[in-house]
Amino acid sequence: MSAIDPLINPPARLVLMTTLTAVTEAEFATLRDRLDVSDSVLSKHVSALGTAGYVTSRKGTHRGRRTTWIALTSRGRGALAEHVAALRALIDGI
Amino acid sequence: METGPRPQDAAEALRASEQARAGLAHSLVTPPGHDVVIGAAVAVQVATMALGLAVADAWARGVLVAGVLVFGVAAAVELVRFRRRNGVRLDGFTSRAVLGTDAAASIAYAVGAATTYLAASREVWWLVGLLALAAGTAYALAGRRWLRRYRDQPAERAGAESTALLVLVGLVAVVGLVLLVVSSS
Repeated sequence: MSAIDPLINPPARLVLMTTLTAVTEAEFATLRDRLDVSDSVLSKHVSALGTAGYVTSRKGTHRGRRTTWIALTSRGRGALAEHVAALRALIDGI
Repeated sequence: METGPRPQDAAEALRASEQARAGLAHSLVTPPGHDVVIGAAVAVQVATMALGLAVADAWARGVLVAGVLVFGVAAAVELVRFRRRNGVRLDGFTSRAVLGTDAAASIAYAVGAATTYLAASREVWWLVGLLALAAGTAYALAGRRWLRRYRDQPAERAGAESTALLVLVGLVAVVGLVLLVVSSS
């Protein structure tokens, strides 16, 4: 049975990881604006998820300025699927 | 002691996450003139390929190679413009909408290339132009259709085919082109 993942459980992290499933990688400011959070908040979530191997980040450029590109890893994708399954089971009262 | 989320909190968290994903997917747009650029590039590539295959001269093979280069440059430019405009990289868009691995785009290209080649081999040049334009238009519309379908199922459609498959297809195309050019010289 799937279990709640404490690393993904904070709503902002669930939103971040779910949003990343829609793209191959996203630029930092694009994600920040979509999620409506501050730079520091997004950085902390990306750092925590990156330490667990759920996301990767790389330095790059966007519109001529240096920025960070963030992507979901296959490990993160699997962890997210398990976490979502656990949430659905909880909702269904299983 | 840490406790798990309540069912109503879990439902709200899921709803918010899916809403955020859908919001990002619906915000992605192609750069201005994208369909025209891709459609024109495919039309040029199809027409030059038909010419290169139908005319047994070295210059015609050169035209064929030039057509492939035109498409390659146009595709690369459009992918950079898409990424600049949206702040994301989307492999599904690259593969299916621009490089034409989506079923509708593949069929449009294959039918367009075959009929254009037949017209070129009979030297009906006005028909070559017309059919190449039709192929480019259908290809561009297939890309637009893919983007609409992506917005409905972003997580399922964000990915591309496997890298191995794309590399294999690319190698086959390059080897075929080289053999074609070499055999004509």
